[in-house]
Amino acid sequence: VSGVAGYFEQLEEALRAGRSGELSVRHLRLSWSEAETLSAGIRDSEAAGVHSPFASATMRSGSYLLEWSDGRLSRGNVDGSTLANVEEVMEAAAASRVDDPEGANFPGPEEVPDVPLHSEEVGRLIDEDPSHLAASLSLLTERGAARGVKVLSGGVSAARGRTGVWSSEGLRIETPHTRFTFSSFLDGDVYEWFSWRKVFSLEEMTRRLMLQEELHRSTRRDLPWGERRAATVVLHPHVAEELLDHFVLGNLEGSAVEQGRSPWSPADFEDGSRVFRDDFRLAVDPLRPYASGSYRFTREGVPAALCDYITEGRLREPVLDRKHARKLGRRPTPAPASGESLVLEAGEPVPWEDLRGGIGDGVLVLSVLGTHTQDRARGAYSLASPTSVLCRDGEAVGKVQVVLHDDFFENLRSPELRTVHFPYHDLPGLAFPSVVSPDKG
Amino acid sequence: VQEPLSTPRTAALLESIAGAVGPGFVIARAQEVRRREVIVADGRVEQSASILGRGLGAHFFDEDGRPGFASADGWEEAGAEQVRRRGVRSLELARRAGAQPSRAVFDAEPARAIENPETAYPLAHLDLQEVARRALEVNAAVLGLRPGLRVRTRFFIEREEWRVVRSDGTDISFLIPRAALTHFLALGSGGRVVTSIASRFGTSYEVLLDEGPVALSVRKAEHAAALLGELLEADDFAGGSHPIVMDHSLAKVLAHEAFGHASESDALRSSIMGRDGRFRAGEEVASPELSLVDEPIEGDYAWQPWSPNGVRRRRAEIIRDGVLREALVDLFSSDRAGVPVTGAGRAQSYGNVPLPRMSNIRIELRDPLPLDHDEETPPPAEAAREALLREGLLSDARPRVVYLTGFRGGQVNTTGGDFVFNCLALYELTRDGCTLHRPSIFSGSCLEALRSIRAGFGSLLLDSMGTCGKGGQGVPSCGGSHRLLFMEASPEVRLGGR
Repeated sequence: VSGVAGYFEQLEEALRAGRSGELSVRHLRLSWSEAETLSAGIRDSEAAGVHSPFASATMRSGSYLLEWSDGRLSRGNVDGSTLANVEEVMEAAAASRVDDPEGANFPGPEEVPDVPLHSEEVGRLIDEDPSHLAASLSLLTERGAARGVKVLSGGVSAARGRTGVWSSEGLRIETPHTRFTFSSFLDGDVYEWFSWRKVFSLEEMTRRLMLQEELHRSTRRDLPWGERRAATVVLHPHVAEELLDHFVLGNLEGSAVEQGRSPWSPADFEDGSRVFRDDFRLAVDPLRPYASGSYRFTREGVPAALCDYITEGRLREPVLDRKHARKLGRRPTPAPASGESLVLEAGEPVPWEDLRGGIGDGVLVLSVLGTHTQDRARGAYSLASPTSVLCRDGEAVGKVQVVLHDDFFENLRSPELRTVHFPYHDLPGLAFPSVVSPDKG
Repeated sequence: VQEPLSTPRTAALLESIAGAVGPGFVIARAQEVRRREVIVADGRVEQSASILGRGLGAHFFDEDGRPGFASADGWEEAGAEQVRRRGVRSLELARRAGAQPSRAVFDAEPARAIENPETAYPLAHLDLQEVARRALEVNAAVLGLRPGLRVRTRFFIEREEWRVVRSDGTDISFLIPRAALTHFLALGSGGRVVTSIASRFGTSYEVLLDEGPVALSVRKAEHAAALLGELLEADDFAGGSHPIVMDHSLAKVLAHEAFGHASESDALRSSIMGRDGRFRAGEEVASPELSLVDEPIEGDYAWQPWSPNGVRRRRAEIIRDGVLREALVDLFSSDRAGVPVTGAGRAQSYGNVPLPRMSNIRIELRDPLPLDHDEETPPPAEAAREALLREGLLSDARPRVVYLTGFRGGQVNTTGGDFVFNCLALYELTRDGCTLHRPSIFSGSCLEALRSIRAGFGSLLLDSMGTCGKGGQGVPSCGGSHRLLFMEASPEVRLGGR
């Protein structure tokens, strides 16, 4: 991105030279990013209308960590206006400095892995010829209309940028990256979202949309769920990711562990306490070439690496930033950037097509409402699903609206837990026995 | 030193953008956010940060009304040039893709105004070290409420300024001041952890400095902490459809999630409050005693006097006396929705496209019933039970009513008309007493929930704050209702449970 290094180099220099009264800057860590995005959306079946127009955005952003000559620390944000206001920013930073011994993390030079995250073709799409973006939007609208979708939402976007972390101790890492994303939401029932570091061709988009349309066809017939009863519940990968993020990753987060907001204590990680079934594994793998969730280093400059949080059902590593790693006496860990970087295992995954044939009575859960309202520390949940597919004797027979009440921690301990492979999704879905209620009555 | 958005320099930048497309039309926006934040966890300063963000964004329209959008951070000429160049390019793309046009802004009334409300304290009144010291004091007071309690206290103060300049000479500047003190509480025992939140908002440091607001925040935390202790021992609730009484914070979530979003004019093709894209104005949807009102209230957490489209935001009576009247309508969707503009556009930042959305929304019942509780903390279960008994709403015919208290968020699918929200605690009220259960979701059909509301108890309380995440943009929301709101049982509205 033109001019980015110049801007942030100037800013780094200005921050390092910053003073406030008698105070001067002793150490600095600067995390920065610049991105350029071109996007358009479909809202309430209106393509590129006034609420989701073709939009072009440039954004510089980031954060600084300063240690002043009195040993105190300041944190703040940076953006495209910081350099022009750097004196004011430094005054505010000095006024906000605090004692925070564990927060003083100014890493030196680090080796970071070479993960391909950048594609020239995305850059060309933004700079030279954006016609593929318009064609992608047309593809979404035309397929929706041809298949009788009453209300279509979604969109396409292309982005490119650079990200870096520099420190006064000699850390100097930066990387270019790109991203192409499309999403499609059919009749408020079936949502799909795909993101990659390269451009999706129209043919590739079509293949993925066809699978979504097949799911959509199975939701066209509304059916009652009937009585509350035991059934096999299959969480679509989007839903599995949502629950994993809330109940598992949220409780693995370092500050929650350290401050007692997680059911898992620091000692549980020391002891490798068993929390899930003995073949359960949850890890982050940010090294997959061109994957949307991949990266080379975190915002704090922690190098990307494969990291197991839970293996054999036992707690191994919390998700630790540098500060909480010091507080807990452990090393900082890579963090999941999105579901695409997660690794989830619990036995051999079974393809959805195969599993469906073996379900006597069950639901494929395509969406749930209210995950963020659940008490993450308990694991128990009570979630309404406005769109689930009733599966009976191997057939997807129609849409049901149900309520799921269960305990996600118990689900992940169940001997009958299975991971389910869905095409084009790296993260599997999850299947387990549960009790399902109708959403009414 | 803060440069006010009303200076000639920002006007020149915005005017240079607003004049960029010849026979078309431009709405140019500048925004600045100054924020100071301190987080204290269990007696230690966890974080202290000072944040400044500025940028330019603009909606472009070609002469046919096809839209485009561009934004850049900073207030420099280079950023304005980027916005102009990319905005014009976005119009080329819009034409090529046959984007849906809207010429509404060409006919809008021009306006000029500056609105800068006064606050009790200026932003510079305290430096962040003093803020941290005060936050530590309040955190200590809450930590002392109960042994074993873990407390994370967050204070922030924010000044959000906007300036909107349009091709027709409109020039609007406004400042939104807000501040909040929030305690996140956790209590654990025997491997179980329960959590709760207590919040208080204002417009400046008064929430951290003045005796009344600070004492109220501690009282709210005390109420929440006592509940946590009891919840550790509580059982799950069996679930099902029951008569429900809820406190004002849950009534706000119901108003916001179940009814408010469905009344926003950008999605009426798919909303239960729309038919063929038009708002169902004139249809009876609730009891004749019920009204649903959204309005900007100065000093409120979600106050916003003007939309980023340069239209004054006004009170919207979404439902009056049980009948749908007005939607939450921005400049662009009035014709399509068939209802007048209410200036409902809001955006998180200069880089976001404004969307119709709520400010302070409330459910009001005509002739509310009396309640022996006028505090700003939720009514105790016993007070709710007594009020229901007195009014004959807890009786042989209706032997059990479920009381939901404390807000934990919600979500809605406006297409299907389904809502979900969760509470901090659930009480089963009978003629014999009150039994506490663990929280449970409350879900069902938005329209059926609306039809089931029968009565309000006590005066209005409109201070339930939150953040609305519509369209991926986080915007402050607020609202409430009477101290208690009563709903009859309906098979299409249910409580979760085991």
